[in-house]
Amino acid sequence: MSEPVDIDDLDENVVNIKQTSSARKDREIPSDLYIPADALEVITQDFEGPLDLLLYLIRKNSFDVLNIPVAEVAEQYAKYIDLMQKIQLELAGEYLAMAATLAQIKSRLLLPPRQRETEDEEEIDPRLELALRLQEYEKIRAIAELLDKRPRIGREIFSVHAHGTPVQTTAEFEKVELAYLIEAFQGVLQLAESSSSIVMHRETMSVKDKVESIVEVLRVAGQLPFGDLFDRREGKAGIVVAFLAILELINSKRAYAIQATADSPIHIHLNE
Amino acid sequence: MTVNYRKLKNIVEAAVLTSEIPVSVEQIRSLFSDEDKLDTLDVERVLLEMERDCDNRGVMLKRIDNGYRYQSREEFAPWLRKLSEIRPRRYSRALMETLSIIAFRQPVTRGDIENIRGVSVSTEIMRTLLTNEWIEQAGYKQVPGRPALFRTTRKFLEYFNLESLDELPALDLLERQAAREVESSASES
Repeated sequence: MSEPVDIDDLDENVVNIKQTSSARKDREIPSDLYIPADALEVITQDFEGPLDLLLYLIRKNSFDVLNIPVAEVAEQYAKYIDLMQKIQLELAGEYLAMAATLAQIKSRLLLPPRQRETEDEEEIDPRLELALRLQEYEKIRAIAELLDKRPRIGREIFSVHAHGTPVQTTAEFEKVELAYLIEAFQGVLQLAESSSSIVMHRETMSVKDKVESIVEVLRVAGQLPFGDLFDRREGKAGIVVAFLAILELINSKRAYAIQATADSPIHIHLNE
Repeated sequence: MTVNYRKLKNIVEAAVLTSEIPVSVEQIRSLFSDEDKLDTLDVERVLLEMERDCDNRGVMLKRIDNGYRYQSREEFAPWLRKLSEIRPRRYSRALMETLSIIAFRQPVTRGDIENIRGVSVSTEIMRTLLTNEWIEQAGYKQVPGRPALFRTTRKFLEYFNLESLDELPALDLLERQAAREVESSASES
C-alpha cells in the first residue's frame, strides 16, 4: 500500500509551480473558498464521468487500481465533488452515486471480517468490483483514444471513386406514356385531397348524420345515381360512412335501390 | 479459368475503381459467367497483383472486411485535405468511448454501455452513431425488458480504415495485460 497522502500537502506543491497561471482564476472565485490550483484545472477539462475522475485521482497518486486505498481516494473524491458543486458545475447524479459507493466500500473495510459460516465461503474484497470496473473503463478509454487516432476517411485517407458508366443492375422497364403519368399524378392528387379531408372531418362524420344528409339530397332530386351520393372530398372514411348510411336507408325501407340491367348504373330512390 | 488474364485484370481493376463500396471476391466472381470458370484463387491472384502494382503510387489497394477498395496513402493527407471541401468532423471523447464499447463488447445494450462508462448513454450520441451507420441494431437481449442490442457495421470498418475488428491489436494487448495484473495480484494475496 502506498503512503497515505494528504491532499492539502500535495496540492500546495502544485500551487507553488502554478501560482502565476492560477492567479487570474483565483480572483474569479469567492474569496472564502480555497481551491487547489490543479483541481480547478482538472475540473475545467471536464471528466467523462465518475470513473474517469476516480481514475484520474488514482493515477495522480500512483495508487494501484487493484489495491485502492479507499479511505484516501474517497476523501479526495469527495473534495472534488464538493468543489464542483461550489463552483456550480453541473454535476450528474452519477458522481454522487460514486461518492456513496466509495463510502460504502470504506465502511465495509472498517468492519471486522465476518465469521465464515462454511469453509468454502470466501470473503470477497469489497474493492474488487470497483477495481474491475475501473480496469474495464480504463481499457475502453485507451481504445477510444486509439480509435480516434486511426486514419479516417476524409481526414487521413480518401477513397477512390472513378466515375464509370453506371452499371446496369436492374431489368429493363417499359417506357411510360405521358398519359399514364398524368393518370398517376391525378391519383396522387386525389390521395392528397382525401387524406387532408380525413383530418378535418373525422370528428363530425357519423352514420346517423349521413343518413339525414342523404335523405335531404334525395328529397330534392327524388332519385340519384349511386355514385353521386358519395363526396370524394370526404376521403375513404367519408365514403364508407356514406355507404353504411345508404345500407341503413335501404334496411329501414326509407329508400330503395334499382338497376335497369345488370351493367347499368344503380339508382337510389327515396321511399316517400 | 477461360478468360484472358489481362482482360480479367482490367475488369477487376475497373470494378474496384468504379464501385462506391469495397468489392468482394465473390462479387467479382459473380460478374463473370459460369463458362469463364473463374475461381476464388484466380480473383485473389489478380487482386494481389493489383496490390503490388500500387507500390510507388499515390494510391493503394486496401482490404476492408471481405471487400477491396483503392484509397490514397495516409502520408498524402496534408495535401489532399486541401482538395476536400468538407472539413473532417471532430467527435467527442464520450462518442468515441461509446463507439469503442460497442466495437469491442458487441452486441451490447445501452445498459452495458452505461455500466462500463459509469454515466448514462446520451441519446444524441446514439443517434449520431446510427445516422453515420457505424452501428446498427442487432435484435433484442433475451432478458426482462428485452433491451435492444447494438453492433458495429461494415461502414464502421470502412470509415476507420479497418480490415477487421482484429486490426485493433490494442484490445488484445490491454486484455492480456489486465489478465496478468489480476493474476499477479491474486497470487500475492
